[in-house]
This record gives sequence, C-alpha cells and structure tokens, in this order.
Amino acid sequence: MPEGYLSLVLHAHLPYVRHKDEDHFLQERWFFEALIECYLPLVDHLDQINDDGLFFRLTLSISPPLAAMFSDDLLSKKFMRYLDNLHSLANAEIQRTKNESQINNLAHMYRTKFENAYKIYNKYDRNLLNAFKQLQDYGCIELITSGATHGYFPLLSEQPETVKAQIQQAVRFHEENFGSRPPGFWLPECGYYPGVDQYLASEGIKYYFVDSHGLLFARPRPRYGTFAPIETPWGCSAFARDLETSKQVWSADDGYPGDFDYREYYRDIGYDLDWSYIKHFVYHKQPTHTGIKYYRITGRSDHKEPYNPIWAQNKAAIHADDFLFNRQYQAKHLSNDMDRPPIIVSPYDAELFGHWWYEGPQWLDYLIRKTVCDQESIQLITPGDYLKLYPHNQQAIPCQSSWGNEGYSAVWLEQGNEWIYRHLHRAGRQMVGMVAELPNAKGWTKKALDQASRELMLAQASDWAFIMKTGTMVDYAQERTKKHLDNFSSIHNQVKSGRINKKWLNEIAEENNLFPTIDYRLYQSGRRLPIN
Amino acid sequence: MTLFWTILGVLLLVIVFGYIAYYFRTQPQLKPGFSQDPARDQLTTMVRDPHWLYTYWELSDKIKQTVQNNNGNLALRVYEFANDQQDTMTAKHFDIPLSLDNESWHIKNLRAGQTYLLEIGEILDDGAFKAFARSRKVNTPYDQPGEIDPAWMPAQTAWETYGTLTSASYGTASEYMAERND
Repeated sequence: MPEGYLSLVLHAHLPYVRHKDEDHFLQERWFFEALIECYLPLVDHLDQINDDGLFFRLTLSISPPLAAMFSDDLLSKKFMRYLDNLHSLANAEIQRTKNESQINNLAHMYRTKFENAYKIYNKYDRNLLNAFKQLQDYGCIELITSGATHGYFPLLSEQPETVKAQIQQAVRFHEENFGSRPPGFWLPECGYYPGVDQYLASEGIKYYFVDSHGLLFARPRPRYGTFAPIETPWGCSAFARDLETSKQVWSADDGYPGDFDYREYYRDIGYDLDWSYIKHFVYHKQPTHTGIKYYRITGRSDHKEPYNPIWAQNKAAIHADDFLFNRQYQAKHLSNDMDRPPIIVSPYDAELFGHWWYEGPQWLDYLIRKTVCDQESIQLITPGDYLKLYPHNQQAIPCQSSWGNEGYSAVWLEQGNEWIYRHLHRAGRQMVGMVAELPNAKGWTKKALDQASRELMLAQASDWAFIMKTGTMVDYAQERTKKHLDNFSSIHNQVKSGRINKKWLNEIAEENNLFPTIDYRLYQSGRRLPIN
Repeated sequence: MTLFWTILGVLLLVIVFGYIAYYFRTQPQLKPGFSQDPARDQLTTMVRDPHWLYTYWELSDKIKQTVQNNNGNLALRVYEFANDQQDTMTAKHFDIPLSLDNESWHIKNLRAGQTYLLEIGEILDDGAFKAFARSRKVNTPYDQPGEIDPAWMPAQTAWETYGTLTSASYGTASEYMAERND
C-alpha cells in the first residue's frame, strides 16, 4: 500500500466560440491555440506513456462547450486553415532566420511541432473526443463533465431549475459523447453552494471538487482537512484542492512556470516582427500572438535571451522530481496521523499546460513516468478509484466557495458584471414558466423552446461575467450575453403569441447549435429525462 | 349546378376550419397572465462573500407612484436571523434608505455564516414598514473552520497547512485566466 495518493485533475474548458462567419476569428483563436499548444500535446504525451505500457490514472474534466467544439466540423475546417497558415509561417521563418543558427533551430522546432499537430489531429479523425475516449477505454483517464455551459452555480441558485438543467444537460451530453455517465463533476469555477449536491446525486454523480476552504470551513470540521473527501447528506463526496500543490504550480512568484529557463509567453513574433510580414499568415487585422516565440523568461527585466529547449526540458524534469519529492514527504508526514493513505488532490486548468506554461505537458509526462516507475510511496489515483477503496467518509457539508479571487463569488458579481443577473434570472423564470405551461409542446413550438434552452444556457456561461470583470474583450462578452438574452426574449414572445418566425428560428438554431438533442423539458421542476 | 357549388363551398369551409384547428393544435396559446415578470414586484438577494450581499429589485409603476404620492420613504429592511429564529417578527433588522432611482444595492459588513432576508418597502409616517417584496432567505458563507465533531477529532498533521491559507491563496487560477483575453 502506498503512503499517499496523488490525484491529478485537469479541467478543460473554453466558452462556446463557434461562429458561422469570419468576424469572430479572434475568439475562435482561443480554441485553435488551445488545440495546438495544450490539447494535442497532452494527447500526444498521454498516448506515448500508454504506448510504453505504463499504467497511470489521471482525471480529466471536459466541459460540454469544449467537447462540442472538439467534434465540430466547421471549427475543424477553420482549424486546419489556421494550422496551414502557421506551418507556412514556420517555413518562412526558417528562411528568414537562416543566418541566425540559434533562432533558426527554434523555427525548425516550431515547424516540427505543427507537423506533429497535423499527425495527431488526423490520427483521431480531427475530433479529439476520439482520443480522450480511447484513453478512457484504456483505463488511463477518468473523464468527468462540468456545467452544460459552465454556468456559475452559486449565482444561478435563485432559480434552482436552471442549475439542475445545467447539470442534467451536461451529464446527458457526456453520455452521448463518451458512452457512459460521468462519475464526477467539475463545478464550474469550483463554485459550490450547499444543496447543489442533490442535483448532482440525482444524476448519479459520485463526487465533485471544491477549493481548499470549501472543506476547511465545512460543518462539522472535517477530521482530515483537505486530505480525505467528505460525504454530504445528499450522497455525493466532496474532494478539496490541496494548498501546497496549488502553490507550487500556480504561484506567480514561486511557481514552476515562472522559471527563467522556460519559454517567455509575451515575446511572440506576432508582435516582435514587422506587421507587413506577419499579416500574410494570420487572419487578424492587427498584431497578435502567433504561438511562435523565441525567447526564454531569462529574468525579471525586459531583457530576454533566446530559448533553449534542452535547458527547458531539463528544468521540467527537475521540477517533476521536486514535485514528486514533496508529495512523498507530504504523504509520509500525513500518514502518521491518518488511518488511511491521504489523497492529495491537485486540480489545474488544462490550458495552463502548454499554453501559459509551454513546458507543462512535458512536466506532466515526466511526473507521471517518475511516479509510476521510480518509486512506490505515491500512487496516482482518481477520486472515483479512491471512493471505491474508501467508500465510508465523514459526513459534513462543504462551505459555499469558489476558486476565484477571494474565494467566493466576488469575481462573478461586481460592478462590471452585476447587471447580467437581473436578466439571467428573469429569463430563467420565464423558461421555467414556459415549460410549466407547455409541458408537451410539439413541432415548431418545441423547436422554439429547445432553442430558448440553448440561448439561456449560452447566456449563463461564467466566462462572460469573468471577462467583463477583467476588462479586456469586454465588448465580446457583453455582445454574447445580450445576443443570447435577446434571442431568448424573442422566442419567449413568439411562443407566448403563438406566432413563431420559422425562418429566423432556423437561422439562430444554425448559429447557436450547441446540444443538438437538447430537450427544453430539462427545466421542468423535479423532472429527470430518461437517458437515450 | 347549385348543389355542386354548395358541396364545394362546404368542402372549402371544412378545409379552412380544419387548417385553423390544426394550426392552433400545434401552436398552443399560453394562459393569460403568463410571464408578467417586468411588471411584478420582486426582490432578489445574492451572496457575494461572507460579509457582502448584493440585491436588486423590480417595482411596478403602480408601487412607485404610490410611494411618490405619499412622499414616502423607500427602504430596504435587512433581517438577520439567529440560529433558532424563523420569522421576521423576532429577527433583528436594520434599514437602508433608498431613492426611487435605485435599482440595486450592495450590503457590506455583514456576519459570516448567518441567515439574512431582505424586504423592500415603504416606511410610513407612523414608523410602520410596509413591504412590497421579499427575497428568499440566504446564508452568508463561513470564513473559518467549524465546530469539532467529537467522533471525528481533527488530525493534527492534516490541519497544519491551514495556517498557510490566506486570502492570497485563493484565486490563483483566475489570475492566469485573466491573461487569456489578450
């Protein structure tokens, strides 16, 4: 038996940024960048570890909007054009830098990276859900889901039916994509409020995650702090983020990603080189990130030295060693006082690995290999596996909490975004009201109500309130919120008057096409739809 | 010939009425009064953190006119419930004066782990409070560990890291996310 368990949890999410037109390429770029820098390398590393015959366990939460974008044909076509452009840019860079050997080697590195991206993407028929499903079937990863559109539950709890619908639709969509119900649930932004468990439990969810203080401030006080789950009265188990491992990776000052040997995110040729040259390889009308970056962090000043991939790779290995050593020490220390091996839960945004922290996927690769091969005191585990080993846990109720700044709801409820809730709540009331009035709608009325469900869910995404708070790209977040609420309101009026504008409905259904099989009766009080 | 036109006319009428009946079968009308949200008087209270609530409201023109006619004092009444209290009669409260232009309010310096309920209403000349709308009860979250369950005495080592939990530990995830929107 190991001295402790390590549960690595990656939460993969992006808002639904699919657009039929070309006007929103900037937002779709979030998705394309994430594919190239994060998800394709992640799949590649996990595949290689699996191919090497190593047995590991990792938990991966894929939010429904991201899952939908992974499998979307239109986005896939646009991504191939994006990748083609980057590949051409890398070729041009190889020519341009032929007299600067160090930079030229890096240009070659990027070309190889893009060529590898083609290979992995095509290997899985241009749909990464196939890759993750395969890894699940091999027993490497435990796939879980998150809110249908990543709604922030504590601030939607005014209409519990809308929270219930976010959960039910997410579980349903997960089952459509992966063939089985998710054992766990990633509460969007780790946003927990007491009682949300009942909707999770009724969907068969066994566990979810809260931030550290969600468990440390639970009632009554959990015996093992964050190192064992608690069982809530509604039948779900709550696992908490470990403080120490969060800090080691996330901390802006001491965290691994800030090491001087790692790649500097902010020195991109999209800004460093002349725009008249770059513009031929990007869709933007102004300088932007291309993903080709030639410098390492170097130090705290603006002076930057060229990136050295060998140094960075070595540093990733050293950091993986350090992380594992600290877990061994942590588990040994904790085991003196516990009647079972502690579970150290380390959840991270998946995008950290590869996008913000370029070497993150390599670090993860080293960490998994070292944990599996080099020692026995720490064992990788998923929360689902842990609950099978230790099904009886202390009963307690977590504290309302989130992993946002200040630990509660301040990020999603402040001056820049508070205006949205009046409208979201009203739309929620109207949706619940329409379902109560029309529980068996058919034909165009049903189609309209199904689309109203989509529009409401899309308006509820936590990303819009978050972006409004951060102050960048605010126009887009406001536009999306207003657009979905306007669409909802128009549908509501049309259903109310019995005059549905079929042409318009078809148009918005084509544009906002998330969840093709959604059923508006999700919003019925107390109703749970049968699984297909 | 007349008979022919009569039969044709009846047939046409049957088709027209049949279509109308089918149309209304597939396009059901909602009950009168459905979704009168914009005009209803309502108060919603949301929890921001252990010491901070946010509330917004909608008042009908009729209510606003009444307050204006009375030169009345619109106010929020904030009830704080002790553990064993269930109703507003016994709960302690304080009032926040409002103007008719206000649509929302941030209420700060509240106590963690408490139950609150808000009402919006008018303070009458005799000092009585006439409520127009009431929010649901909300609970502020805790900001420290809870009581100890004797059956589950805390493991000392598991709680050592609690000392490192500061407000700076929170939210490191979202700091990274903030940079995404370049």
